Amino acid sequence: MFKNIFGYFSNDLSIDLGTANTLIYSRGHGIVLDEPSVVAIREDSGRGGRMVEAVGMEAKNMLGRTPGNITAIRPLKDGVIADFTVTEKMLQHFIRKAHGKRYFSPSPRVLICVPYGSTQVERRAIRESAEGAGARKVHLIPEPMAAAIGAGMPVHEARGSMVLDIGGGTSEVAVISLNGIVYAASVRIGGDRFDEAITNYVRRNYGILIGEATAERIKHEIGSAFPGQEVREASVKGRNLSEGVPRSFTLNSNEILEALQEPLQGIVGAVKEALEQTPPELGADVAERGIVLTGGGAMLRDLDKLLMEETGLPVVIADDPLTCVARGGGRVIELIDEHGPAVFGLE
Amino acid sequence: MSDGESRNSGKSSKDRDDDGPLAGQRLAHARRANDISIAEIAKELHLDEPKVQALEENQFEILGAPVFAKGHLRKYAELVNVPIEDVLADYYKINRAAGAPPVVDPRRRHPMPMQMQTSMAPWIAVVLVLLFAAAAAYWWFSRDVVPTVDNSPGSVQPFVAEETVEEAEIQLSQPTDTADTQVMSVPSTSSDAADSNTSEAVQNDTTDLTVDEGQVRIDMVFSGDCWVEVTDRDGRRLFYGQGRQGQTISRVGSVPLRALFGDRNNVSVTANGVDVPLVAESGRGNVSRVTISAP
Repeated sequence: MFKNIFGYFSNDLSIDLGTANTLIYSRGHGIVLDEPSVVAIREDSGRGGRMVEAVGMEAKNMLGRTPGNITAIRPLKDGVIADFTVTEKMLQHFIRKAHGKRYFSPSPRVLICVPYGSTQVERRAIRESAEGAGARKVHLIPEPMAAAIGAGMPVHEARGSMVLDIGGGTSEVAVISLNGIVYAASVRIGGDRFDEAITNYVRRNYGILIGEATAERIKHEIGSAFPGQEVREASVKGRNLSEGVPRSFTLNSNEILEALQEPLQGIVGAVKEALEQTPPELGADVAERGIVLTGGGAMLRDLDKLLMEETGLPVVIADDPLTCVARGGGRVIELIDEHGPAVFGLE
Repeated sequence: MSDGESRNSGKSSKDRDDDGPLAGQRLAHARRANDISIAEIAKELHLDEPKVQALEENQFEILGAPVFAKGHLRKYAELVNVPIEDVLADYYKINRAAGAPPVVDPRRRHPMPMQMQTSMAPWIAVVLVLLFAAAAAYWWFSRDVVPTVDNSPGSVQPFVAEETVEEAEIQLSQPTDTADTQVMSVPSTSSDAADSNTSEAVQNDTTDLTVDEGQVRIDMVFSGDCWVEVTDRDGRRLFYGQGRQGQTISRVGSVPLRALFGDRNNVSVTANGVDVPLVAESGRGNVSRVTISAP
């Protein structure tokens, strides 16, 4: 009962609960939170349990730099919950932070964007985790639908619109028409796999071990999905596996392009598969208008060029691709009252 | 493409003439300066040539939703080395009202029951809070208050009148059981009619009661109507009903006897022949409760 009463004093939230980052869109306020989905846990034997040491950016800065009794973990893996309790705590922290200082615990209505390929068990875990974090009502929406709405695609039209959302843990490709998903597929390839591929490449070719954060920095600085005229370089520090001491070396964008081939081909394969499975009328619409890229992965240099070359279709990157899913969810939660959850196929 | 955007696109040609080359025109100038053909641009963008021409003429509605037009403008700008920010600024200048397309078909917009529920919800919450407050207030004012008792040494009180908090917990629903209690000939009942008969039947019949050890006899003489409830040590109800004017009702029961009088001014009470003072409960009018704790 108190949840319902407090709910009228809470803002409706749309949450992009991503593997890498969690974004929260507050109704009437826009994006109010953008933090890494990382939680630092302290093992406190004195008090007999685990305690949350830090959440978000503060916890991310601890990744790979923690002492024995603190563990910085990502509670989501491949877009779904890997640690229920920690996810609940993280959501609780983010929801409170999104609401600012209040005299009571917020109890908002929440819309969470979930991977299209997540199972019922995984969706249930996300729903219950949000409820445990204080949400009074939880709606779930497939990420590609939210991404398409957030990108400003004409999802209500009787024409096919193809969206490719590349997140931290998964990439989702979908063909949408008349507010519904005609075809969608989810592959467990995303920004994290790019980082992993870079780490493996450096270890294999240089015999040097680099951390997660370093791999991510390399990706941002010189990562590329298509060979370009300009070759960029980055200086990297890591631990030499044979000598056991830190070493500095230089990587260039062509090497990263080579490192990323495997995950990139996985994404290209998913897009091609989607085009094959799309009904011909909708496929023609997609061919005419093009594919829209959203998600943090869309910011990988020349990924649109790669997809254009591989598919022969126009490919464009949405405005502010990182926040498309959260913004799309926000637009949906604003329209739920007017049209009901059934219009968007919400759960 | 929204209607608003279409209208803006229609107006844009005049604005362009006034403000110089904007967006697509700026790109076309750059393309010509770089000696690049439309066909080459179309090949790079994977678009048909007419669409590239439409882009150069700022006819963005041909390309579909704004997300497509802006995406192609970005790529085109990159190809001809024009600052992307300038081209997008031009785009927004031309399409001031251009926003994202509607999420739901405008023809589907109609009130849904959900809307009514949501708008009513705050009022329901307010009503619930008020009801809760009213219930709390009722509980506060209706709770039993411990009356004060005159325990001064000068007062003659052979039977201690103890009003305790426990007295507030009188069980009105306790079944009548007269088997172990010496009562007058008519048993107590809960109905008014029966009470009335009982009261009349026991009037002035006070002679056959025997008082054993641990028991006390209570005599109630009514000068007016008064509601009475008398229970013994075990909570058995000895009398439960209305005493009428002129009646005398007597009961015998194990101590402590607990008695409730609705109007203390209309009854005088003795216990084993000794007067029992009836003290009014504070805040309850003439209601009085007494406990006769010793024979």
